[in-house]
Amino acid sequence: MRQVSPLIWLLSLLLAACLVLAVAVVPAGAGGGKTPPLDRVSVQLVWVHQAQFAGFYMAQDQGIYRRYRLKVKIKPGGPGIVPLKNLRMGGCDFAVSWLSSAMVDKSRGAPLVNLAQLVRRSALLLVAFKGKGIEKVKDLDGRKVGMWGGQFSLAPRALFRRLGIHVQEVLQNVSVSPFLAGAVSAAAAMRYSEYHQLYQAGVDPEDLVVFDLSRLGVNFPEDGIYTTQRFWEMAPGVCRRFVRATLEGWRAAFAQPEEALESVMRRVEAARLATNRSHQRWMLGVMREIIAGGAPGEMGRLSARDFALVNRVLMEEGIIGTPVAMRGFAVPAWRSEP
Amino acid sequence: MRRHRLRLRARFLLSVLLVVGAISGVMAYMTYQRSREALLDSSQEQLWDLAGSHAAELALRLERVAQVTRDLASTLGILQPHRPELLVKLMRRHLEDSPRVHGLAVAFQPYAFSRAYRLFGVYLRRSRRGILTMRMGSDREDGGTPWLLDAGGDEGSREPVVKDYPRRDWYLLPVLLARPAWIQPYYGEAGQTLMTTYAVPVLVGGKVWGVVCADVALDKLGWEVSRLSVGREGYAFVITRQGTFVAAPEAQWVMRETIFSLAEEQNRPDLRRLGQRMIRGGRGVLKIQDWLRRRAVWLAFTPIKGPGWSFGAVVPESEVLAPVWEQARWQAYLAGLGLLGLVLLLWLLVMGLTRPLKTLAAGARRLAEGDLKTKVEGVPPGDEVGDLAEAFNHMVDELNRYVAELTETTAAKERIESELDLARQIQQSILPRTYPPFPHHSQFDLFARTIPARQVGGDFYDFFQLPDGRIGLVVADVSGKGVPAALFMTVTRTLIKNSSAYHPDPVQALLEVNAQVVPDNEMCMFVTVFYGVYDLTSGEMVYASAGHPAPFLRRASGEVERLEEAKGQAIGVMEVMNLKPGRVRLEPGDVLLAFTDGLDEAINQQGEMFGMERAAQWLKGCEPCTAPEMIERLVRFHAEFTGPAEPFDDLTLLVFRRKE
Repeated sequence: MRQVSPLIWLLSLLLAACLVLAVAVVPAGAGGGKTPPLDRVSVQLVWVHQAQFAGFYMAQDQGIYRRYRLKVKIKPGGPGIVPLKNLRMGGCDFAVSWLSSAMVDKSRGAPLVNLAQLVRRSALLLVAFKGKGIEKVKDLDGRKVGMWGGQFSLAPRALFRRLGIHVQEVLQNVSVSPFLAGAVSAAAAMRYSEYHQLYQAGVDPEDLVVFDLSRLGVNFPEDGIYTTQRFWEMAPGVCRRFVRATLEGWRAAFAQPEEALESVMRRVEAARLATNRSHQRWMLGVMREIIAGGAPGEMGRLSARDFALVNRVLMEEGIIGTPVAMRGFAVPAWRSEP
Repeated sequence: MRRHRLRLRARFLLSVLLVVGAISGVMAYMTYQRSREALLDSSQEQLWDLAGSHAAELALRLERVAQVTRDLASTLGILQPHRPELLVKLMRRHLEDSPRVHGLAVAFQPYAFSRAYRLFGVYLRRSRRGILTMRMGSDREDGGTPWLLDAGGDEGSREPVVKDYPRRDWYLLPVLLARPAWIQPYYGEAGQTLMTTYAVPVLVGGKVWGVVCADVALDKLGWEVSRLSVGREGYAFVITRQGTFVAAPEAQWVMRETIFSLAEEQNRPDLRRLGQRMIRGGRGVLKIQDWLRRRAVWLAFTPIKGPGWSFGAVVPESEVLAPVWEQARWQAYLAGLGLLGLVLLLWLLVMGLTRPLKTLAAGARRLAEGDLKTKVEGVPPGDEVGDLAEAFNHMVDELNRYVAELTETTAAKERIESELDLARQIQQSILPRTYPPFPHHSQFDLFARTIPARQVGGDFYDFFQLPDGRIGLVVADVSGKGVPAALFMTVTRTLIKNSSAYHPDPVQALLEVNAQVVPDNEMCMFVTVFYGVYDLTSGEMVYASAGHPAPFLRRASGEVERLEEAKGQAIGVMEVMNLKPGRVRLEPGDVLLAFTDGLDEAINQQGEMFGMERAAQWLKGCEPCTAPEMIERLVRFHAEFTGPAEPFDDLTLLVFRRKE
């Protein structure tokens, strides 16, 4: 064995001490002080993956949720999936739902809170072919109108009642076939979906008469973000962060529509959904109008006037007995200041 | 030289190539156009047949399914079974008899089948374990035991499937329309199989009692459209009444894209219009831009009767035209080879032409450099170039001969010229040339000069002292020019000088001269003479003029006049002649200018004559000076007038000025 000089010994010792110190200090600094663990939450969408939820996808794909210290699981909806029911059963922390559905549930005792109203202008339309004697809503009197029933029929029904007309409501699935086949004179259509499906089935816009319910005095706010009273009270910070991150995701989606479209199409293709890129592009364009269409800084606000309108219609239809109070139902988690 | 020759060769080649190339190009283009049209026609025909036969086949298979469905519907309409067993039995038999049908469903209007069920329907479908039977609709409402259908397997459960069938398309459409309908295709069987449904209303007493529908898996219909190849790169596709692809060149388009969504994505309004034509049952063959790759394709489309779908067959134009291109390529090869051969042949030909030309050119160059012995050899005779070479050689021979002659002639000419030169010198020498001519007489200033038009001239002048002391002045002009005139002049001059010695009177002197000249004048030459005799003491001049122009007289005052014309003929014309003497008195300062017609008859380049008037004017404006200077100035003025023109006549001037 060779003799080791005392100088090398000393240097080795010094090096070892430095290493020990470094190992001890680094994890403490990185893990403990700077990044707290992410809050894991889930959100139940109201329908299958599509551009209707592009803001959620952008918040996830662009790291906005992560920035808000959230790890979000986005659950797609579909036929037979009722988001509010899922929320009640504890299947998710947040749910996307139409305002009217949430108000009905609330009046029936479900402890729900509206954290933000995303779609503030209704995208619901009634469409009819031109040249069939339908020029105004009143012309629908006595005719067959394809509708989806439930919450989706509330606004049209309120409109028909206001005009004093009676239509033959034909309950149908989400399909444009009965309308195209002429089985119904008019049909409900979402501007972001069925209306454009008709276009993609070769129907030119100039061949259609379109009744826009949001402009006919029955503007029913649609997609909103909901959670349970309990979760809101327990973790208001998480709720606020989730809502704000989602709104930021929407802003990102509107600012970078092509990236948003990529986020949508990735999910659509993974789920093998029967849709196409141009349809999703159209949908994203409409979402921009109905989510960000109002005054700037109002994104997420639930209009008291529209809330009152839904309350009245629900009462008139006999769906609820007493009106739902806005206080305690709508909590402005979307506001920048708590 | 070298470049020019090359250009000639290249030009020849190029023009032939251009013409031949253009002709073959036009022929190739015409052939291409004709065969292109013929091919396009026939392939359109083929494409159309293909689309038509496939559409008809699909329609036929779908029709068989439709027939089974309608058959069951009418059976039910007649039998109106109210027991589920009978219903299931009827359905099972129909399903078993039609292997193409995947499932059969019968659904009834609310309470139409039984008062116990608001919604009642039965669904039979094939599975690996045989035919499964399922109930559709709502639960039993009267509290009785639910009907147990022959489940035939695990999947047949008591729980009804499709509870909300009234809002399904397959139920709604036949009920609302009260006629059969083909339903939009969908993915059935866990989203794996593309299915479509034919739904028929069961009419009882004019009212819809229920609906019968048959599910059919499209792949059971020999659904190989997506694999159907049209040519090498072509493809076929099928779209539904809503434009949705159910068979497409790209698998991911099926049920996702419609022809209109493609048009929208690619911003193709033409495609949208085409789609509208197709879904409205149109048919046709047309050329479009492909939606897959941007290239020209031919599309034949025709409706599939029954569901009202549209079948399209697509083939790229490039593929249709491939044989034409092949042919064109061969033509191009052949034309290229032909042209190459032509170039070689032409090159040889042009070389054969230009080589002798080159030899000839070299010969010409040697000739030009003075080699008169040069000959062009090696050019085969017989053709045009051979003739040219022969002519060249002949030319050289002739040239040699000519040069020899010319040399001789030139030598003779040179000899003559040198003799003439000598003659001129002699002629000039016999005229008095000293100035002043009479150094002892300072009373007058006298000078004269002759400028012959040729080497030797016919003009002359003379002055001499007579025996009586007077001074004789002579200016004469012999007819004709050159050597004869010079000889005649010499004779005349001598005769005048001799005669003046005997005859103090000028008239007499000239008459004597004439008398001596005329007899021997066989050449008929004549001479005009001015002969004046000046008396030094009196200043008087007696003169005679034999046909000679009268001299000018410039008085000391500057006035210019002509001497009185002393009329008379020229000497040598007639034996008897009549001359009159003239007389003039010169005062000191007066100047006499005698001349020959070479002065006034000179013609300039514009054809104007010098004329007496011009001479008189000049003389009038002449500054007083010595006689030689005066002559010098007049000669210069005269030369300025005539310019570079060759002098036509001899010019002789004599100036006599009385000084005191």
